[in-house]
Amino acid sequence: MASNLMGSNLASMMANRTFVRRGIGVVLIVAALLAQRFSSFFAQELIAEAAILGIFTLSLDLLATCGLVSFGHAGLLGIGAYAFGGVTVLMGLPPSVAIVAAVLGGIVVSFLVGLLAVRTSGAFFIMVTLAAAEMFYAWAFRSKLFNGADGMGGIPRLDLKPIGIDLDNPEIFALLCIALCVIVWVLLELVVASPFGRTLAAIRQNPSRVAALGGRVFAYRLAAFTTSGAIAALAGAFKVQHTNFISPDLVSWFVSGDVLIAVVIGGMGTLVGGPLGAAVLVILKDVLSSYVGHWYLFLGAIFAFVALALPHGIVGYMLDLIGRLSQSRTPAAAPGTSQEAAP
Amino acid sequence: MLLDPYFFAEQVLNSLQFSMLLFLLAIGLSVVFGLMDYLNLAHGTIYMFAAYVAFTVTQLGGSFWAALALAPFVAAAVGLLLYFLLLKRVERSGHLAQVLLTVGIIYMGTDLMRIAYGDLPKGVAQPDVLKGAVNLFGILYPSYRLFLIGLGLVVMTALYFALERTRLGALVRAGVDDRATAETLGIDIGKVFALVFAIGTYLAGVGGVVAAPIFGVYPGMDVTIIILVLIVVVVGGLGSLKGAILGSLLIGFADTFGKILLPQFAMMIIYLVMALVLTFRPTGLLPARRFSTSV
Amino acid sequence: MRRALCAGAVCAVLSMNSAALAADPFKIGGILATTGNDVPQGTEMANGMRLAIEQIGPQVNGRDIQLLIEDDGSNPNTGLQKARKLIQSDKVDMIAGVLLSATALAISPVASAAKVPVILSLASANALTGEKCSPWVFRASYANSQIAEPFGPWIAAKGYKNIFILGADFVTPREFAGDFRRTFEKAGGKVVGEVYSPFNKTQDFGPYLAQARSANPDAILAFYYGAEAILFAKQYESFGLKGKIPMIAMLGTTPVMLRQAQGSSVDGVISSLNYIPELQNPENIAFQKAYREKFHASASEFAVMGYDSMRFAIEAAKKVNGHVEDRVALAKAISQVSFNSARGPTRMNPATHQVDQNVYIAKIVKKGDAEVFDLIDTIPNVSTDASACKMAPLQ
Repeated sequence: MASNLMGSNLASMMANRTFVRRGIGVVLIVAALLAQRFSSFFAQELIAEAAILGIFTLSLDLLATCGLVSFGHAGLLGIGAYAFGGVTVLMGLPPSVAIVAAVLGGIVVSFLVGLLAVRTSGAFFIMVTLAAAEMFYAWAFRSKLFNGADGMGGIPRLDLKPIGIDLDNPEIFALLCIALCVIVWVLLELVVASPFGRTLAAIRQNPSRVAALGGRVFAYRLAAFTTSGAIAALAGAFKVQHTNFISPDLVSWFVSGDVLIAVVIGGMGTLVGGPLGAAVLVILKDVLSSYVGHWYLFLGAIFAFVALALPHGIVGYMLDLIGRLSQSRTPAAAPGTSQEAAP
Repeated sequence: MLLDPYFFAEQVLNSLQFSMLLFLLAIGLSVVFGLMDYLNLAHGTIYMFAAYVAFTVTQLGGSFWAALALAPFVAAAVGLLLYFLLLKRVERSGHLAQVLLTVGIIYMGTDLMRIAYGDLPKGVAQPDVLKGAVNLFGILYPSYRLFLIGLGLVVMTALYFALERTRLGALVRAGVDDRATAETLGIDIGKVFALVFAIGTYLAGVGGVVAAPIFGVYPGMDVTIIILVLIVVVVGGLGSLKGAILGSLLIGFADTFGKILLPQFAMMIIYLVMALVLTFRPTGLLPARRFSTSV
Repeated sequence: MRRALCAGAVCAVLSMNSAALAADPFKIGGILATTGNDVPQGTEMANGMRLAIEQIGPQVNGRDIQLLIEDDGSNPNTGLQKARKLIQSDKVDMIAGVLLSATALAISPVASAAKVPVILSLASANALTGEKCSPWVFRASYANSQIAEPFGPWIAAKGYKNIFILGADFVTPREFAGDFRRTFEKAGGKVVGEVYSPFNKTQDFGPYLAQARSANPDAILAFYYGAEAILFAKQYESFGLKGKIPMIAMLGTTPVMLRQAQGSSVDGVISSLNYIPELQNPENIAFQKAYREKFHASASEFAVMGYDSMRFAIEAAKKVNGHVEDRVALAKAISQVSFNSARGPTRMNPATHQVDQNVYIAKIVKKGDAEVFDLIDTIPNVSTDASACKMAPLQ
């Protein structure tokens, strides 16, 4: 009897968390659409930027579900960006082909890097991914093909005019980016809920146990890394379409730091936390840089604050809160009720 | 050109000098990481801070030696303050929280230096007695750089004796090897931590002061150095003195000779070295015992 | 940081009148670094701009001059974004500033399509007034070739026949070196070596100095900037090269801004520049005085180029009687402006949209406690090659 109660309490709590998470996602989508509908001309640019960063954060968060934190994800973003730029500007092929090329490039590169990187974990993984990104930056900086540090302009957007959609219009482009972000989010929600996703979560919690149970940890991690790379490359392809310009600082250490910060602010492992954190970061940066000279000081203080007070991020905090509330509401909970630390 | 023995010897000296600087920072980071499982990316910020303090000391009329005596203590004090006020809070929260907090400190620290000192790079003069060059078997090598090499060797030896021959050293090694057991044996790991952190930060401060006359003082020097030091620590292996020495030498030589032999790949050489080492030894070349098994 | 500018009490009076006149302000968007590595240059440029507006403005034909400064974060991506913001959101009549050539190259098509004239306050890549010129883009600073080309024959004539080039590996040094090399070799000189080190990633120049020394040149031509310039100069001295092999450079390597940090290591360096604070013409003396009074510091080339950019803008606006909405007329007017700047006579060249100006050869000497520039030679009225620029007519 008691165990049944425990079981249903647990189940309802877990269902609560997933439900709440997805609920937050829906609210975020509605807010984004409203913002897009009623925003000024230039704010559309910010919305597009936030949505693209949102896709980027989702790629990083996917990796986090299996316990790997990358500090070099800008490299994968850059692969997509440079591939897209190269295929359109240098090879003259249409943007639709370039997007496919970008994603394929992301898959190939992340697979190859992953072969080495995924063998390490924790701090070592952070180092390897950082190093890989820095190497790519070094190449991009000196690349004569892409004008090195000067960067390359004239990168076209996807041509959907035949079906009546003009992506050169900032409002329409912003809408497309929001749509893309939503699609990626939904797909990843499905992945996380699938057996593959559950295995990843198990690997995050205790890799040795999974290995002992016969799971091939290396293969799963590599798969997650490669998928993450594909999504990051997709984000990169759209980032350069947004600015119509590509330069090596797209691949810098700071970009990797930014996306990591966005994910952590939103809530690592919550998926929806990524786009939320992205929106917060983009708005924060715009507001701060308009009014404050030394805004890195404030940004740093915010990161420190999040690390100290909000380690699970905004969404994580909300989920914890709801978890605590629903726990206190169940009167017959046995004193030793355990709570699974699930996102 | 490489075949010219004088040129070759000069580059060996250059490599050694660079290695020594890397070592001064790497040892603090490595032992802190090894002992406290704490990834302190703000280690470079302390290095930068000490360099700026040295600049201020010389601006106020002090000599280089005064700066060398004073600045590392100030740096260590600030480091300890940071530790007790901020860093300690995420000691048990995992690497991610530590990375986040220390990156936040990096951002804040760099901007604070910009606010206090402006954005222009500053210079610290070499001490007069070391200004010239010394004739070493036909090579004319700057005395200051020789001083750096000497200082590094002295620190290395001192740390070796401290770790291997003193009781405190034994406590540190025990804590790195197996913290839990050490604690059950009654060792106050908290005090050991604080002391290790203080010494590590002090050495980073020394690094900042001695690097200033050669490398200059500018906001952003913290990021440049921390990436290099992280690579040294990862390659050398966590938590061990030998690992820090080996890592510093390897990276110091790889960087210096890489720049001459393969200038097109100069930026990538050290990353390639790191990739190579990690492929065959995922936890570094000479990690302390606790880290030898793959995680 | 964004700031709208109009001088205090005058502004208050004008806003009372402007209700009656209904005159929109003349809006100029300034793209400058207020964060990132280029802040010192950006700050000086902004100061120069503000001083110009104060002295030559603060109004033109009854319209307030409004300077809106946006931070480009010292990188082209942000600069491009801010340019778009200034054009689309703030509806500026003109854009000025822009330190990085990369940013200028990115902004050029956007501004040209929007028909907003751009006056560059630095962005010195040759292409901007060469193959990538635009009828809407003007440059009040200098082109790399202007500084490099006259230096070649001058150096050869002084007897430095063998030169070793050391530089940071990115576009600007390579462009400088290429232009120098061409005229230098034509004048009978020989480049005995050319080695580049990773940009912003090099701290130890020992290996490079050793290579240069072993080639036994008459002089070393150095292209380094910022922190690298300091390190290079100090290491050049500490490795015993100072006094044995002279160092020559172009502007940016031994600038006034790095004086304190470089110290006496740069005594004796001969440079080719478009401005030194020690110039004795009346405009410069007045300019340095005014700058010092307002900002309590001495002005270097960035302040001058910022000032001049504004002067070009305001003089052009005067030529169209304040009707800056007629962008084509405004752009055409910019081409016709010339004046005596603190750096000597300047004239906007209509064929290239590059300012023609003097180039100075100066040596750094110790005077008392400090290092100063000592003017050795003046090469007057240097322009750029117009053949590379094929500009479409303004419409």
